[in-house]
Amino acid sequence: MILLLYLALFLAIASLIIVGIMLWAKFWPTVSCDVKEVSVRKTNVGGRDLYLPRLIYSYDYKGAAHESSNVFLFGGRSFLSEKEALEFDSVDRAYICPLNANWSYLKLDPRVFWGLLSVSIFGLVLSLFISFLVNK
Amino acid sequence: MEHTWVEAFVDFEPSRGIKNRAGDSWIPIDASFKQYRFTEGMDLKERVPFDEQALLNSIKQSSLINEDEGWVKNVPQGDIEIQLQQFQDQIEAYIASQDSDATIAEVLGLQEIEILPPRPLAAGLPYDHIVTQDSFLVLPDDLRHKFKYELATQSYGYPNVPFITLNEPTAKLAGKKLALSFRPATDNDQEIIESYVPEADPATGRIDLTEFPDTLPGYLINLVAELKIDGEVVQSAAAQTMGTELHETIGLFSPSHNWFTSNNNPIAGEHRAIGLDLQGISPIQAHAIKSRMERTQAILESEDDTLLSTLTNDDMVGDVIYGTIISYFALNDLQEEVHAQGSEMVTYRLPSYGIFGTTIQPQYWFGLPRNISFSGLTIDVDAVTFHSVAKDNNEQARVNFTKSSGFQWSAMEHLVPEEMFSQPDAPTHGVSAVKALAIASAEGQKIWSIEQSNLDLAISQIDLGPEVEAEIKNAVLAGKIATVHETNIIYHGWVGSGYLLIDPETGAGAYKIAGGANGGVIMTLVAGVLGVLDGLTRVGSGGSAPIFPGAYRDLWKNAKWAKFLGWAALAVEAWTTLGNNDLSWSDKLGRLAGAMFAFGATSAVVGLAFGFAGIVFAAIVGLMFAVFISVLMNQFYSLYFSCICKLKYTGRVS
Repeated sequence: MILLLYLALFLAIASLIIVGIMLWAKFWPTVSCDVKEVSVRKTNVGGRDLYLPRLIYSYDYKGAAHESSNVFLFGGRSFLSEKEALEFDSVDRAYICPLNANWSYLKLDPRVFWGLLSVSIFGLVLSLFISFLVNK
Repeated sequence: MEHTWVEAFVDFEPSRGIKNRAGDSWIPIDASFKQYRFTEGMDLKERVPFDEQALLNSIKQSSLINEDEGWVKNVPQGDIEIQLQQFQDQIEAYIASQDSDATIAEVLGLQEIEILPPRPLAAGLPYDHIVTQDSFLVLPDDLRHKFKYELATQSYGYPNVPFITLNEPTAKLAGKKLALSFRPATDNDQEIIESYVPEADPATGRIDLTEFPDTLPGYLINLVAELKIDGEVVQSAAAQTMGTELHETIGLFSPSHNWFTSNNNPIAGEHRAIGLDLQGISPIQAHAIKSRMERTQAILESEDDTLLSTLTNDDMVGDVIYGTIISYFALNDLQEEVHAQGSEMVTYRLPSYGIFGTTIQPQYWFGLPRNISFSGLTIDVDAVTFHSVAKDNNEQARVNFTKSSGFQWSAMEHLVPEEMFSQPDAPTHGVSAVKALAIASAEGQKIWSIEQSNLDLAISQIDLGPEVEAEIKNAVLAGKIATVHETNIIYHGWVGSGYLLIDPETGAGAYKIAGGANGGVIMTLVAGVLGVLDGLTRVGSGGSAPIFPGAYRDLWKNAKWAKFLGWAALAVEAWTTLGNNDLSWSDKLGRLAGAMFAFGATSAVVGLAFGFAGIVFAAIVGLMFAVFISVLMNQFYSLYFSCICKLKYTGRVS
């Protein structure tokens, strides 16, 4: 049970750190980018087809050229149709990490942000519950 | 120095209490003021010296000692035993040469109270009286030593309203036999139990003991709990079905230290003798137990049906069980007295208590105690207290005396039951904390002395289960020094550990054993994590290549490989569960089914989370769900697919 307590705390804190990075990432500098390749990947989860946009884009930052395929920061939602997934075609600005210019993204998915915030709260509550069981 | 005395209204004039017709004066009488007569013993220290330094050097040479990390290994126990045996032989030879019939008192010296003949009362106290702090007509309740016993059912580990409550001054209970036992609630319950007793052989009239069943169906048998004092039921109450885990609170009240209480979880159906050692065990009390046991033995050997029918459960089981805990206290009191005299200490017993009883191991099926089996005898001494002071007022000598007394009390926890229950052809095997440490040391395990400075290192090196490790950690952080071995030992079918938690300032401490492991959590967690990996690898496969962008391809690849390791770990855990003899086959299948459920559910949750917010979210949600489902399944197993694997403290015999 102690192992479970540490795991729950670790996951809750890790989620909070990611949420914090996402908040910080909103203030990253933006540069214009050129979308070089657009495609949609299809996968099947539980008998349901899901579509993931896949973009390769390039950008210049502080005089250096970079290329990336990160559409979302820390991943993002998938779509139920190919058409929805392709809407990223219109994105023309990339957010660049000031600490590592190779790390960039095109959009922040609010689902990831709120989802991980919920997970971190759940993890803390679960940790308290496990502590209660351990000390019972 | 504070003293308490009584004042009696006696016929003082003119005979000073010798002739008591009508009282005329209040006269102070202090029964605690005594004169001792001291007799010199043999000067063994001078006549038979023991070279402690040579023994210490020999141990240091043969042992592997790492003072920086705080452990010792390969202590030459055989050499120590030989040297101590040689020393004992030398002492015995010296005593025999002086006086072959010498008593303990003559060897160690005697301190006995001078019993004076009746004589006229003195008008005042036999010492200088400075001030009277307070006086009472009746001793107030908060100045009485008291003992309490409470038994309750429990909900989620917390006690409900007690159905048995005893709270009495210790003076009322001194020398009396206290026991908790259970009887069938109705004739139907009695008949169910009797239906499991094998038929007697028509030719010999005897019952073959090997035909007794290993288990009883606890859920079919309702029991009534009975608290007895000297064999008389003083309180009784229905205690649910046989095998139900109960909550017991025992405590002693001291006017100077308030309540000390300890909690245990007896199982309905066990017999528990409660031993009280208030100020030592009196010879009258010990003699009464011996007489009762001899009478029972005589009746059993007489084979007279009329006499046999007079025997009660209390005669046949209660006296033996009670005799064991009283013997434990009596022997320790004697040893401590001898030890104190040899160590130039003065020591007095303070109210202490302990329990010795049968141990029942229930196995649950959907919350019902289904199979109830007898798993041994357990001694559980929660409170041992005494006053001690060195004759030269040396504080360190007092701490050392307390420590060595603790070792002695712990060792007696296995020695006394072994002596009581061993037969020439069927020896009984007991375990105590110090014995568990000795066994581990003989196995070549490191013996750790854990302080705050080496806590993290030691905890990372030992593997005694999370509950024991957490207890050790908390004790060390609170200033105690823990002595522990590395991994569980196996001793005559018992798997567990022994550890000491000692307060370095006072020498007082807890000498504990912990046995029984509640498996199942690890297997569920491994299955859950495997479900996460399965989910990630499934959602990540988009045809022939992974669908994730570059940054997450490594995650996908690692998940793929980790999945194989996960299957291996799950196989090992499943094998361990299948090999756990404490679990029935239905319990084992239940746990395996639980692990499969954890795998499938976690994998599905990862798939859903991936569709909702992508790969990182899916991985974190999946792991959190694996933890969550492991906690839930652990609670579920403990209710429906488990034996009660509670931590056993202090001593156990089987």
